[in-house]
Amino acid sequence: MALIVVAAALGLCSGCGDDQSTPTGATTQQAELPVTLTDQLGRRVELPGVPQRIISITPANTEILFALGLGERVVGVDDTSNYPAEVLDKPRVGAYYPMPDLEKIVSLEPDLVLAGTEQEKEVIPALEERGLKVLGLDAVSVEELLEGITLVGSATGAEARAQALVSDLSARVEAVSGKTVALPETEYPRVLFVVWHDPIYVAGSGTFIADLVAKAGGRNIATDISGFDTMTLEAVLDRDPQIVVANVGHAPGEDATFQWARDEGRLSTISARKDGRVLAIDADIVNRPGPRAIDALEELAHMFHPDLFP
Amino acid sequence: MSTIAATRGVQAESPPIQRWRTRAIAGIGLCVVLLAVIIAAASVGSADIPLVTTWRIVVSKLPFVDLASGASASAETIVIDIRLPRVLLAGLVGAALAIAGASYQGLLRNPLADPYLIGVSQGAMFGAVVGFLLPFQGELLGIGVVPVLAFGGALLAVAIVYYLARVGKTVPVATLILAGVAVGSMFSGVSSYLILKSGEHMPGVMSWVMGQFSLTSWDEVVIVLPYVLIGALVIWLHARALNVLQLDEEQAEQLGVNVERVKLVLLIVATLMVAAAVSFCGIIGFVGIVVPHAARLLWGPDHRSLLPLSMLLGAIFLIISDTLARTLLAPTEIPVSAVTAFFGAPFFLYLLKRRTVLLW
Amino acid sequence: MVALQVAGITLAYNRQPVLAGVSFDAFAGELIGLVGPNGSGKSTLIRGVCRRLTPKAGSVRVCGLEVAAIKRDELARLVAVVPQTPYLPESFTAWEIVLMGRTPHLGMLRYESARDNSIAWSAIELTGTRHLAARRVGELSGGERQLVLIARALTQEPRVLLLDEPTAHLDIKHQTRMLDLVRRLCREQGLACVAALHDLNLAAQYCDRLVMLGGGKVRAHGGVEEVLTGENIRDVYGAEVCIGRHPTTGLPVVLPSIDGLGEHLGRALPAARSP
Repeated sequence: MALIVVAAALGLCSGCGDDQSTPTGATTQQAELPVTLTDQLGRRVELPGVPQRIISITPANTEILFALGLGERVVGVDDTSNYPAEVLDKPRVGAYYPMPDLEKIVSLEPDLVLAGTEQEKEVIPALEERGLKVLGLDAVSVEELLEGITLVGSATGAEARAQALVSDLSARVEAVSGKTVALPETEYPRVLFVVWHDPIYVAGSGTFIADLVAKAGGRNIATDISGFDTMTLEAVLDRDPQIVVANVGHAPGEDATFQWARDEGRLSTISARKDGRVLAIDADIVNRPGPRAIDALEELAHMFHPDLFP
Repeated sequence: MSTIAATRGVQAESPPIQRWRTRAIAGIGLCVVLLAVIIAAASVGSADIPLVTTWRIVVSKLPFVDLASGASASAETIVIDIRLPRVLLAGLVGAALAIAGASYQGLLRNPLADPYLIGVSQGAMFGAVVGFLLPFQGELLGIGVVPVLAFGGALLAVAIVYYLARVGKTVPVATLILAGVAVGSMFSGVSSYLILKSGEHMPGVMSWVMGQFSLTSWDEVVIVLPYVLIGALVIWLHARALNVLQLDEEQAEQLGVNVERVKLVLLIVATLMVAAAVSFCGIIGFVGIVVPHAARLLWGPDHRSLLPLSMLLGAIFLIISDTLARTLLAPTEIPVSAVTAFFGAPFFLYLLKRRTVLLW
Repeated sequence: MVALQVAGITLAYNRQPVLAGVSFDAFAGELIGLVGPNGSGKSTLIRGVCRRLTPKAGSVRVCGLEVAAIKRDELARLVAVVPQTPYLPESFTAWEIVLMGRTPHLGMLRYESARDNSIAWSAIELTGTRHLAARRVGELSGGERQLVLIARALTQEPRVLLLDEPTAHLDIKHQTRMLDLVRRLCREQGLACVAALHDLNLAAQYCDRLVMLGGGKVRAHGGVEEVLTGENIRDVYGAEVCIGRHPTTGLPVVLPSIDGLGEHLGRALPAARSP
C-alpha cells in the first residue's frame, strides 16, 4: 500500500514540471472527508469532497494551482492571470478587483474558489451568499506564502505535491537568506522599492515585498511607513537609497515608474543614480505571493549582493 | 451742467475712509505673513535641515550673490528643487482658487458657489482619468499628458455648461448653476466608471483626484504663474463691476454695466485660472469657498479689497495646509484636501461665531 | 427745456403688446405722475424709457438723444432709475451703495476721486441719509432703503429721474416725506422726474402733470385737474368716485363713492351731504 502511495506521489512529482497528461490526477489519496480547514484569513471552510472544479480569482493563486499540478482542475481564472501559458486558454471570470463576474463564476459550478486578501470584504461574502466554497490566502511573508501552498495542497488532496513544492522553494529561500543573514547590518544596502511615481508609492513594512527585500539582504528605507503608502520626494533624497527597484509591467507605458526613477532630475544626487543601480523587476513576479516570488527573491538578492549571488 | 456738484457737501472723515485704511493695513500684513509662511514652509520637511542652512542655500542661489552654501548637494536639491517650487505652487494655486471662488460667488451671487460649481473640477477629473488610462505616458509640449488633458477636460465641461445655459443673448445665473450641476454629474459619472476600470492605475488616479503637490517642479510653477497673475489682474480690473453686479442685474444695467459681457469675461478668466491650477495638482476643495467668505467677514464685501485679500489669504492657507500634509506623518503624505477640510471647517465656524455681521 | 420725449412707443414682453402708442414729454424741473390701475403698464413704461425693455415701435429721446442709439453708460449718465423693491446686498453699507451711482462716470481703471466722493456725499446730505451712511443696508427699513436709492440715483447726476412706485410699502409719514423730497430735488436740481404712483391723491398733491394709463394706452394726460375727473376714473379704473377738494391746497382729492356702500356695511348712513 505504501509503495503505491509513494509511486503515485513520485508520478505526480515527475508530471508536474511539464504538460499535464495524467487523466487520473483527480483520484488521489484523501485523508478524511469532509475536510475542515482554517484559511489564511481566519475563516473556517468545510470541503465535503476533493474539489474537482477550481476557480482562482487572483493571479497568485492561479500560479500556485498550476505549480501543484492542478491545472486540469482549474475551470476559470481572473482576467489578470497570465502564467503559466496554459492559463491563457482558461475561461475568464472578470477582474480580481473590485469585483469579478459573479454570475460567470456561479455558472461554471466550481466546488472551490481561491481568493486573496483584497477580496475579503466584499467578494468573498458575495460568493458565499451564492453557496460557493471560498478559501482565502494572505501572505505578507515568504513563510506565509509557503503555508498557503500547503493549505491549498490540503484542500485539494495534493498534499504530497505541495510538500514537495514547499521543500523545493524553502531550499531556494534558505540558499539566499542563509547567506544574507550571516552578513553584518552594515553590508545591507539601503533599498527603496517604488510601486508608482506620481505620487511616489513605496513598499513599506508589513508588505510581502518588504519581506522579500529583507530576506534578500536589503535595508528598506521605508520601514517606518506601513503598507503601501506615499513617500515625499524629499524623504527619498534625504535617505539616499543605494538601490532603487521599480516594478514594471509588460504593456507599453507600464515602465513609467522605472523611467521616472532613472530620469527624474532631482534624484540625480542619490547613490542609486550615481552608481547606476536603478533597477527594474517584473511586476508579475514580485507583486504576486506565488511560487515565482522566490524567483523575485533570487533576482533581488542578485541586485543587492551581486558578488554573493551572481 | 448738473447742479449737484455745485452743492458742496460736508467733507466728513467718513467711516468709509477708515475702512479702506483697515483694508490696506490688512493687505500689507498679509503680505508679510505670506513671506514668513513661505520661508517657514521651505525650512521644514521630512529631511532635517537646520534653518541656518536653509537660509544659506537660498541666499547662495540669488543672482549677484557669490556665496557658497556649504551644504550637501542633496540638501540643496531638497530646499531649492523640491520644497521651494512646491511651496510656491501651493501659494499660487491657493491664490487662484480663492480669487476664482470670490469671482464665482460674486458673478453667480451665490454664497455657496465655489470654483467647481459649474463643472470645472469634474471636467478636469475626466480629462485626467483619460490621461492616466492612455497607454502613452509621454510629454506634450514639455508637460505631461495628464495635466494637458485635465486642462482640456475642464474647459470642455465649462463650455458645454455655458452653451446649455444660454437663453437668447443672456446667461441667467440660475440656469448656469443648474447646467453646471447637471454637466458636472455627467462627467463625474463617466469618470467614476473609468476609475473603476483603471485597475492598477487606481492609486495614482485617486491621489490626483484628492489633490497633491508631491512632484511639483519649477516647470509647473512657471507654467501656472502667468495664468494666475494675468487672470488675477483681469478679474481685479472688474472689481467695481462685480460690486455693482451684487445689486440685481436690472440695476446693474441701469448703472451702465454691460452685465452679460462682464459675466462672460469673469467666467472665462476664472475658469482658465482654476483649470490651470487643477490640471497640475488635482482637485483641492475648501479653499475656493471658505477663503473668500473669511475675507468678506473680516474686511467687507467690496471686491476691490476682497479679491486681493482673498488671494493672499488663500495662498497662506494652502501653503500651510500642504506643509502640514507633508510633515505631519513624514515621510508619508496626507492628501492636501483632507488637510484643507480638516483645518478649514472649524476655522470658518469660529469666524462665523465671532462676528454677528451679516454674511452676504 | 424738454428733457424727456416719449413718442408713440409700443412695449411688449412677448407677442402681446402691453402698451401701444404712448407719447408724453417731461420738462426739466417738473414731476410727472404716472397713474393707472394695476397691470396698466406703469412699470413697463418706466422700463421702456430706461431701455430695460426695447420699444417695438416709436422712440424715446433724452436731452435730444435717441435712447436706443446711445451706449449703456452714456444712458446711465442721463437717466437714473429708483426701482420699486430692488434687491440690495445686505453687507454693503449705504455709503457704498450710493457711491455705486458714480459707476457710469468711471471707467474700469479709475478709482473714485475726491470729486466723486463729494458728489455722493452731497446726495446723501440732500436726501437726509447722513445718519445711515455707515450702516449696512441689511439693517435699514424699507423707507430708509428708498432714500438710499434716491441718493444713489442723484449720484449718477442724471437729467431724468424715473421712480417706480417709490411710496409703495411706506407709511403715510414716509410717503409724504419721500414725495416732498422728490419734488424739491426736481425743482432744485432741474431734473425731469417721472414717478409711477398708485395713490391718486399723492399724485394729485405732488405732481405737476399726470399721465393716466389704461387698456394699453394713454387715456388722459395733462394737469391734475384735467386728468382726475370722475369720468376718467370711471373709464379707466371702472370705479365710482367723488372728487373733492383738498382743504389747504385746493387740489383734487379722490374719494370712493358711498352710494350703495351702506348696504354692504349693513347699517344706515347719515343722509348724504351735498358737495
